[in-house]
Amino acid sequence: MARVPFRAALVVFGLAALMAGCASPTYAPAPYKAAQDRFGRIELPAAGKTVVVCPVIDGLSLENRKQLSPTFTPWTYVTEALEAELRASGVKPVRATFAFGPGFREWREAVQKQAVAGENKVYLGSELRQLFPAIWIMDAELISPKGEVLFAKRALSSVWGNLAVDEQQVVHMMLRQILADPRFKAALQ
Amino acid sequence: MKALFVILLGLAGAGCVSSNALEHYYFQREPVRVAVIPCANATDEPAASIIFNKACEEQLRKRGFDVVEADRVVTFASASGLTVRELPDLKPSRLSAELKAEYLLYTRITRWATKYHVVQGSSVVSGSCWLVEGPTEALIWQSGWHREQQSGNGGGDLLGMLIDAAVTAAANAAFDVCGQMGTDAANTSVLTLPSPGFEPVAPAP
Repeated sequence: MARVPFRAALVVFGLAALMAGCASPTYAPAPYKAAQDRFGRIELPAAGKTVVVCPVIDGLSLENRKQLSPTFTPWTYVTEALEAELRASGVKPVRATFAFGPGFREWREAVQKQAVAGENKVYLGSELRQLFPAIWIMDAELISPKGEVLFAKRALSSVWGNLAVDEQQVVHMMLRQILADPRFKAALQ
Repeated sequence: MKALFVILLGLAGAGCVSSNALEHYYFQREPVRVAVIPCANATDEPAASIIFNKACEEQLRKRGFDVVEADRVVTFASASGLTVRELPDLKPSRLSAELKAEYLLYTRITRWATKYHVVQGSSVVSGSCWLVEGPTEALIWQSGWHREQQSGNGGGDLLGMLIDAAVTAAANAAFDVCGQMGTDAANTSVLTLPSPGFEPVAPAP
């Protein structure tokens, strides 16, 4: 008689431990620090130039979202990280305030609609496609006010095997693939 | 009415497919060229570097990448007055431009040995690889690997264990277990690389 409650308690305890381990929609990266010395500064030739940064399109799957902390907003995190790196490189980021649909095509249309004729700005749009601690994937486009695509790229950063994940490095390397690309630099000028 | 519904459904389907296909195509580019930089080999086994590089090259080709072999990188180094040991210190942007490869695959081998410790024989290989995008010098992918094989140690008396360990160590050395484990590590690591063509083509006019 005494054995049953003990076993039941053991099973309940085991299940609780298992659930605590499995159901962990808690991932949220630490605040991003731009221009860390260990990665080297991203040199951009167009110092003083204004780039309109459009909030990152959230293209994460439902499965990916389930693993993130409910209080963490990925698009805010990545938009702010992009702006911080641009600022550190001497470029002035201005956050876009106009609304746009959930894709690059809709975003290009929205830019064209709100752009004033003759304005000399470039618009940076991006879409976050995956965000796990060890795999981040993001698409980015730089376009003119007329919606002409000046630069486009898929950036990704991943860590496999028995290596520890350096979160700041993963995010920085993803942004570096966009901002340090010679074609991006040429498009900025 | 039914026919109209089918046509509308068909049109909607066609619209969805073409839109997705366009976006997908937009972010593709091929072929992606990867230069295999000769391993930085911190072990006493000079063959480790060759075995690992060859396995990576083969697996990269199987995955659809265009490969600049480590041998060609060595030739480039010699022609430029550099030693292979100096290659990892070279700026990736310069190395990538010289080799005409968008990506550089680096490897560091830290362990590659078969050892016999009284009652236990073991073979171990370990290291890490990382892929750098040349023009941006950004780290795209990194992978740590470790393989280990120990003697059976099936129990029994001390003499049995000694014989078992010695036989395992001898067999591991004779059959180049390290080489097999290293090749396996290279294959599995390269399999985790992102698919070739993760770069966009020039934007469509």
